[in-house]
Amino acid sequence: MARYSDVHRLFLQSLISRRFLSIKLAEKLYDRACEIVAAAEGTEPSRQPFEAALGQVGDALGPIGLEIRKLQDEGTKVIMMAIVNTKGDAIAQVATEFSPNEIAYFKLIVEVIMLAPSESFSVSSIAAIKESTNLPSKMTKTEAESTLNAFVSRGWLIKSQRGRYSLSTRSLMELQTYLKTEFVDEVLECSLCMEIVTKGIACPSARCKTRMHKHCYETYRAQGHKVCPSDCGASWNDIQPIPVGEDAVTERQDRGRARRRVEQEETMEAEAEEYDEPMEASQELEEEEEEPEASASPPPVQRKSRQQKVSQRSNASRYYDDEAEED
Amino acid sequence: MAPRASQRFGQASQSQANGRRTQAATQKGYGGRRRAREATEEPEDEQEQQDPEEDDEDGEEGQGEGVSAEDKMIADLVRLALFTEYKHTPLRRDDINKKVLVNNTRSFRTVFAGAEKILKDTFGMELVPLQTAGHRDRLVLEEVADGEDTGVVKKKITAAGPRSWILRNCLPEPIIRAAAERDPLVAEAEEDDWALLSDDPLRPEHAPGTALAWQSADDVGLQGLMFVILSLVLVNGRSMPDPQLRSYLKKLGVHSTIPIVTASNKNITLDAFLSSLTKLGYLDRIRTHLPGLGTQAPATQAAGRGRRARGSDDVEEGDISYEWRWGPRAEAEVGEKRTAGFIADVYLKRREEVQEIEDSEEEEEEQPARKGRGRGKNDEVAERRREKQAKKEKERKEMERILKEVERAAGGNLSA
Repeated sequence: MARYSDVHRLFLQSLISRRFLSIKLAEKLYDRACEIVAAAEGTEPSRQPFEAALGQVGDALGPIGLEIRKLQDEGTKVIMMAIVNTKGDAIAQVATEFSPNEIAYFKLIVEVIMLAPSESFSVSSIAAIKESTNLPSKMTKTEAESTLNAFVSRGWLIKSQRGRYSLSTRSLMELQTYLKTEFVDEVLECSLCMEIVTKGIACPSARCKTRMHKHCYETYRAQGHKVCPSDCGASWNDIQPIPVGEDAVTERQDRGRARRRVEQEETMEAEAEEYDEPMEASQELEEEEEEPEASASPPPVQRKSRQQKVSQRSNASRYYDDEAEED
Repeated sequence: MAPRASQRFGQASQSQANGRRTQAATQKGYGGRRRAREATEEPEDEQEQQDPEEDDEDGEEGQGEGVSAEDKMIADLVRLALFTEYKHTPLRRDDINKKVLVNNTRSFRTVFAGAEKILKDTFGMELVPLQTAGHRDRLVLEEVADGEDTGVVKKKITAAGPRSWILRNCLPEPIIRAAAERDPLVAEAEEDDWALLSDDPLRPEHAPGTALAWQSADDVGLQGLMFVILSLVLVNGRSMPDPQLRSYLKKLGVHSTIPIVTASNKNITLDAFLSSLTKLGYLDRIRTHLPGLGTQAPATQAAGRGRRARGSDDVEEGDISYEWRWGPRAEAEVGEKRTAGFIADVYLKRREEVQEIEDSEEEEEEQPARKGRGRGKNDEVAERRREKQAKKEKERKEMERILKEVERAAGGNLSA
């Protein structure tokens, strides 16, 4: 292994100064770091391969509680990377560019996205703005809107063409641990690459748990596979896989209430009615409960106290619970 | 193994957290476990309560086997330093005590040294102490008093120890310089990246293509204005009365009454800009008595806190007026010598640019002619080289002259 040198240090600095970038750019930055150091030291560049250098930098970061994570973007299919804080402790709270109230808002948005019905992992802009009323210190509609815009422009959320918000690749990387521990029941993992799926497909048979990223699905089909890779073995030629992500809800639903997965629509209709109201009631309750805690110092993506979450989830994700029982 | 162990510490500390502060034993040299048991602290307890699963993460990180409490504190301090720098705020001793050391404040030295080593070895960065306002006041007074008894002052400072630091790149200067220069390949890859991301009003139109993306953290235009202000203050003998600064800025088209438009298309007033520079530690606003009354005991005012910087009209309140000086961050991050270099650069660069345009025009004219002649080429090249060298020599001398003058205008030795 090459000696850890100024090449690595400069490379690491250039990664940190960007925080979130494509592997391709990272590779260029590594080339550049080699070039700069070689020129400065007047030596012939002795280059180790990019992956090895990246690995070495990653090894140096590990003990500090930082990690280099890579993830293929679900939309653009480009492999992105970020230097991620692996600990959700008090020190990590310092790392954010947002105010405590904005962070609390972001947390709420992450929650509605993760708990969104029909595995849509997205929230309409109207619902997202409405969510701001659950904050301990109020935001005006305009403030909520501009905060949401900031989340998008700073790369934490994605706003789709039809105006739904979903988690960005950056969020998926940086919040991976949080999402997996906080939303154990909601997080879906790709059957092929095992990373979190928020935009992709689901096996059409009701009880099958197979989920895939769009890009993984395409690769899988391109390899000539026609059936679900799990035990269910359903033929994907006969029935098209169901979308995961915003395509799972129709545009009409953006304005109205949430609906269920298409084939379960009828049985769930009644429950869908029920869904909206109790949820709001429970949120109002939470608002009061949360006030003292949140005004103290809300951490970036701070978890709600257990009972609050359970109270909300019992409404929001009844659908998922039902499904779990069926299994 | 490791996760379990640390979980146990969590529990132990939870049960003991209350009222154990008094008996916190902090001698050095304990084995990791014992130390962690005796010395874990509230924020950590919170973490344990909130995220019991988090511990498994630690284990996976390979941090596991017998990580001592001290190593953990060192790692925490490194992260704290990186994160506070990201926010552009100084790393404060109080925060280190509260968030990293907690009951182990006595291990400050060891932990700090450990963190410094990691920052240097892994990141190529160093922690630079920010001078307290008191220290800088003394510096000014000292100069007045002909620089006597510096020893005493120095002693005083080291006794108290710095209260805050900033993180600074400590890679060799040529590397840092090159890292701030544009590379077309990087720029191209970066613009490809940007095409994938959501629109960001803070993002400039073209990628800078520098190895270090320092532009993303700052508004480059505002940064330029800040350098101008720092330069003005420096060459005015290291301090400048508020009305004077405003009148200089007015000459440059920066008015107290007309808002400055930032890169993100926000309007900010000059006052707001100055107070943000004060908050970030680039500038200090000092309350002084009217010039006639002398500057006895200038009291540093915590500008930005409480009171807002005022408009030019109401700067004077009875016999009180304000003057601007460099803040601690400017000294640590920018430095007087570099600012002198910046001033010289601005003067010389403009001349150079004009020269370059002329040169390139000449070259274009000569190009076709040169191709025809084979012989005279060598002479010409030699002549050009000589010219260039003469020019360089002239520039170097000019640069030295400007630096010297800046130093004189500042009122004495420029600090690094």
